[in-house]
Amino acid sequence: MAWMNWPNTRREFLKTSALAGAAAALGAKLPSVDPARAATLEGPVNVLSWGSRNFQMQIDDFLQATGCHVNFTGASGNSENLAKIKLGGGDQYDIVGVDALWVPKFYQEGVIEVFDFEKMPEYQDLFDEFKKMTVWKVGNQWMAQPWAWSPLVLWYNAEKIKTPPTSINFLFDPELKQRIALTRQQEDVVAWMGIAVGANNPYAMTDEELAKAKEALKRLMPNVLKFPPQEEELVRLAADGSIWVTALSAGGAIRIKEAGGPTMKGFIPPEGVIGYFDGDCIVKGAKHRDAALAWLAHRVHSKYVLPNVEKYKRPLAYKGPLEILKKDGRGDFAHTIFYDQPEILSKMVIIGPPPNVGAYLDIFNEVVGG
Amino acid sequence: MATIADRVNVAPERRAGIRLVPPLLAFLPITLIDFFFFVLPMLVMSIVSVLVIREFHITFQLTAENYLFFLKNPLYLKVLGKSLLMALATTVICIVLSFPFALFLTRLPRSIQKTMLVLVILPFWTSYLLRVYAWMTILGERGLINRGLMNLGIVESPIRLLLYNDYSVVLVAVYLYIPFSTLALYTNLERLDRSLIRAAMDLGARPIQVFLHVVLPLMLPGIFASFIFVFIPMLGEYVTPAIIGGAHGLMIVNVIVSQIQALRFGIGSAMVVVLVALILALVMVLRKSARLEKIYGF
Repeated sequence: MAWMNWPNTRREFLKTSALAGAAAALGAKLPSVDPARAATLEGPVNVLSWGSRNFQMQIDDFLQATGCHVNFTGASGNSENLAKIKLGGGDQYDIVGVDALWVPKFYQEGVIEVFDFEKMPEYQDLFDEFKKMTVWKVGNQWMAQPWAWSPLVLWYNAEKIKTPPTSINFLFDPELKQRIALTRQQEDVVAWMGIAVGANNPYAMTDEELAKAKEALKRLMPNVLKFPPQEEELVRLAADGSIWVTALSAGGAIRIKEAGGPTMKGFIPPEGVIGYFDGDCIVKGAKHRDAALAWLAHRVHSKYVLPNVEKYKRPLAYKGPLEILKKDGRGDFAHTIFYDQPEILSKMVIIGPPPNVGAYLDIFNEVVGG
Repeated sequence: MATIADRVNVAPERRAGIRLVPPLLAFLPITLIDFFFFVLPMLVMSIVSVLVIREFHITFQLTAENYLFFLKNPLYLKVLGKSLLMALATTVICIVLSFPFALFLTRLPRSIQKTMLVLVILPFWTSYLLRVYAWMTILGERGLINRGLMNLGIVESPIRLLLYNDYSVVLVAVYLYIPFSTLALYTNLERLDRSLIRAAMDLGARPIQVFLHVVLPLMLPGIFASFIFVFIPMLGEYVTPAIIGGAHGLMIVNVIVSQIQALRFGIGSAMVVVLVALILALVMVLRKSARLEKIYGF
């Protein structure tokens, strides 16, 4: 299948995007975005997406400007979203939230359609790294409007682990017995092990690499307290001292501290780090396409994006809020969550559906259930 | 043939009300619910389980591959066995703990019984998830028990064995499901003819003999109901093992969900069909062995 080749395309994209960086972000000028340009549109806009996308106030503003309601259905996973869109289609949903390499998969499945994102003024606010993205583009048309991105940093309890780690192999240290927790994303856990064993592409490992990753997971298991289903659970476990190491997105340390936890330090393994970027797509045959496009333009306005960054503490794909944060003297915060370091994108192993996802699942189940 | 109204001790005017609804019509809502929310999904699952499906693409080609994958894989059978064992343990503990309490309830004056019954169902007034999370604040490293033990100087560092293992999953499940078994046993005990116990004792039976030969057989409907209310939902538990369980805390439903999430609909469906078949077989065997017809006098 064609999408199996995308990890290569992704690497190409990451290589090409490595040249652009924070300088572009610093020099960028905020676009004069008029939220919800459309006067009156036919709605409502039905969105199937992650809960951390939007605030009520921007939905209210959109309603006021366009007369369109925005209905949200919480998403819980890419495969589930794909199934829902396959079943509901454009009659039921107008927009769907999708993670990085799942986007081309959705496109290949024929459930989303491309749109002219570059013609929207909001496009100018996008980091250059995202503008150079080829994996989400068909010609000049976009499969998805970028939203958030982040490396999954390995956060460690600095009060318990005095010597800063230098390699991903610190995860196997017997001193960390039952002190690690990772989210129950089977392919991500196996991909971490792939990084540890030096796999060429941790999300498309060969049988031989998978066998090595399995052995690594077996070695890791004594150190794993649990694989909780939600990220919030990791924050809680780290905050109450149950675990000392976890993988969380950019603002992990702040979130743990705010939950009453210890000082956590971030570690990006030199062997590689898993990361993600996500976006919103227009569902093929969307009943309220115009309103959906107006909503996409409306939602990325700095006025809304900034509070989102502050609340969820991870960088977004837009430069505007970074400028505001810097002007407000909050550059440190922006730096802590990697917002001013979009070049990290090029170093990330992007989360995606492995072509042999069943093999990943079997390895996880065999080791964890065994 | 006696009507339902004749069998139930209700006022004549209410009986007339019952007669207004023809028996077949009365069963229609539950039949429709069962059909649309159990029979139909199961039918779809059964069909999907024997078809070749690659991600979202169904090919109408019959296969036993999905069942063989599940039934030939010792790991998945082990997880199924473990899930059955945990469900059984939870059920037995619930019944054993509920019985004396239900017995105690039946001996209380009517007015106090009502209050106590409200207390039994009181946990249902809060969300299921909240009740599960509440246990983390009790069993966790900084939880109530560990803090208490440390404050009393009994332990120096928190005990880590209290949470994130199979035992803690069973403990929390017992807490979650015990109201069901209590209510089932209470209903049974309340209807128990105590003169039979007195007669047995008058005839010289020892308490243990009275319990084994008189009370226990008469309690079978209550035990059976408890089994239905505790064992089946526990076997289908997803949230509690995910939150309370440890790194090895997989139960069969967690495995099924992971198969579906990995777009292996065929294997996931085969697992569901096997699980439901197993539950139905268990219920039928139990129903047969409990001889409910005789007990209820059908």
